[in-house]
Amino acid sequence: MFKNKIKEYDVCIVGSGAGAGPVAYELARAGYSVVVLEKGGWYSEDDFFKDEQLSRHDTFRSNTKYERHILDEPDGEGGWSSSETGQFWGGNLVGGASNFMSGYFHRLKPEDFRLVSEFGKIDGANTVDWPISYQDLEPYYLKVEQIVGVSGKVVAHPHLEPRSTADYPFPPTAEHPIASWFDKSCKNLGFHPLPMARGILSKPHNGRNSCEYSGYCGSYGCHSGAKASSRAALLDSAMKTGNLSIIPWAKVYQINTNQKGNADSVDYYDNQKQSINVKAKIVVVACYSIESSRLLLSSQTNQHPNGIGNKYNQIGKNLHCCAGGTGHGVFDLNNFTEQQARDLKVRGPFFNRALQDWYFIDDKKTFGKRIKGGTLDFVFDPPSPTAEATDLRREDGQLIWGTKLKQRIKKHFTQSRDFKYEVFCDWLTNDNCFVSLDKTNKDVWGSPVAKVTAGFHPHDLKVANYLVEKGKQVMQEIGANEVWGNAFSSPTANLIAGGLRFGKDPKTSALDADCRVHGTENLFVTDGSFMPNGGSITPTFTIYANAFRVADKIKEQLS
Amino acid sequence: MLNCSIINADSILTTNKKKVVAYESGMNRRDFLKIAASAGLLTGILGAKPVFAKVELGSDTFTKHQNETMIAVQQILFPDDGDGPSAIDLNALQYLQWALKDPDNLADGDPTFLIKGLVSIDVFTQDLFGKNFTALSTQQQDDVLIKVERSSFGENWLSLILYYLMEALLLDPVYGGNPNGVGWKWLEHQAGFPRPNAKQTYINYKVVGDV
Repeated sequence: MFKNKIKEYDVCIVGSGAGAGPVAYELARAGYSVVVLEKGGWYSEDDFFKDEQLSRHDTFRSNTKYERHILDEPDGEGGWSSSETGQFWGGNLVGGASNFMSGYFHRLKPEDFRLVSEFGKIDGANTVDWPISYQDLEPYYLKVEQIVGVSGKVVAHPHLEPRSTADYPFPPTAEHPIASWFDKSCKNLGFHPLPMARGILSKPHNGRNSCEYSGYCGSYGCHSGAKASSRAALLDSAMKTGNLSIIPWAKVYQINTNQKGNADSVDYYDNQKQSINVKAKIVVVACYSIESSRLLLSSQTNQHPNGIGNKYNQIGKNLHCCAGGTGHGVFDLNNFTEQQARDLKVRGPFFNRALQDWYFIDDKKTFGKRIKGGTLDFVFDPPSPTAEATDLRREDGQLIWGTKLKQRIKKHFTQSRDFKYEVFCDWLTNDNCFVSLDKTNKDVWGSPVAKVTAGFHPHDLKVANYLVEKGKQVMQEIGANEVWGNAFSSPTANLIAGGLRFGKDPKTSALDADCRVHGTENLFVTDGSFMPNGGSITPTFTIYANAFRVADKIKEQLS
Repeated sequence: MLNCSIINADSILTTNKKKVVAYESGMNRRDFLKIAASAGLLTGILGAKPVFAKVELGSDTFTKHQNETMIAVQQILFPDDGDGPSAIDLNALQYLQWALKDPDNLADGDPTFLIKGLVSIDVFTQDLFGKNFTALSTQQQDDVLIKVERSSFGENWLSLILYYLMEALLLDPVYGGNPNGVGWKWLEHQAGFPRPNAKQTYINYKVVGDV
């Protein structure tokens, strides 16, 4: 399976998701020897079925009997609750969680790179300006659009970020009939409906097929290769150079450092629990924010006794989840014409609409000053029919059964359609949101598991509630019979970033501006850990772009 | 003693029950099932004799009588009422028996929990009617389930049976329920493609950490 039998490489990458793919792709194409160590298995399009059981079980994920997280979160009554959880395992396989993403690809806005300068400090929040600007990242957003493949259509709107090209390289994916209802309703309300850019191919590209529109996208592995997973879009292609080795079932547990404090090798367990050492000139960590912090913290060496780069206790700090909420509009098909009802029932094409009218909120009556707001994405929930039916077995908290249950299920599936929106706003970094090593709980390989302490800032809820209300307004205007929405303060299972934020000052950041771990010369972190704030969008597009940027820095260093 | 555990709500679980509702998104079913299983454990500690402890999990999880009781319960929960498939049409019992051999469901203690309820329900109906559950009329069976539902254990027990029933209704037929897509047809559900095949169901994939 491995062309390369050497155990010494130019670059060793821990993890294979969105932060890893661009580095492997760029460095392998530049002629360097690269090894990717992935804890999970190596699957292809042929292994992904539109079977909801795959996403509901531990297929493609770590099993909590082997490893887990400890989650400490506010209990709502002034204290903290602690529990074991498997919810943060988003995808442990080659390509990582990007295999299962929906691929809503928004860019950050220039202001996201300088929140403090733009909006001032917020008490209790650790927000900082970034060490780079939007202009530094723009060429790499473009690179992702072209190489990884982003489809969409640019339309003018009040908060459109600057672009170096007029439009996306791929036209929008096919749209659901309700998208046009949405556009009309938003215009009635004076809002600016946006077609959403997607990390999904609308045309074949680089050996990948375009989307099959099966209607089973987010949380499902892609069968056509259209979804811009790190595996389909980058690793498969990088393998063709002959310079890349991907080692699946390789659980990295230790990074070793030399006398100068630089990384010189990593240790992993293979699937026979044999420990294997891999030497490399450059080590890149990209195994999801929580786990990347954990690996640095647990790699305690002579030169880094408290974990690599942890001289100033910055490793694991300033973690952030996605703040926001969700809302639903339920449409009773009996209230529509036959044609409209048929349109609503269509499954396959995408909703693909977003609102960014309140990415910055200028509502002084509510907030006193201009503040950072967020994005509303209008989407379909991934089909999960058994979960829907299972939910219906309780009405007002009471179990129902018999004909009453059957009719309720029938009505839900045949007479109504549920459309959803998701609200994304910043989860303000704060002293109570961080990763540490649990003192007692160990994984099956003997390493301490990560403890996630997930405190949130009350400001997040105010912003989220404001946006959730806007979404309800839109759903009502489109003609939903039932509309509801909630802001949430619990950590999202996916989309967690930060923990190793980049910055100029080693006393307030974990990485330098090139995403090199402070106190080392050759250890980089390229997943979402680097982000001081997540922006009010899903961060995958930005993780890809930044990893391409860091890949250039690594190339410079190696040459 | 057993009938006490199935009828009396145990207030200890009230705080956990809030969490049951919050986690009912299907993606987090394990959290829910853990709580359901702990309910069984708890009532066990509260004094029920472990009548079920010697049940061998061989080719059949349940005894013949337990199978008959389970079908009867499932038919009350999902009856043949002239509109849509019944539990029997869905192969709900066969599906359940397959699902109870899933290592995750085993680890959650589902077989033990379900058997405990099957045993308890006869003790309960013997007390009330001098008969086993299967010997009662449909109306009586429905009334019994309403009473069973009043206890936290009973509520979780019915809830778990319904959970597996919904899987038999809507999962791919490759798992043994929903024969020929009878549930999908009734609900106009559009399956995705490609669909799983017998050699590639979720059970066939290796899990991270397995040696």
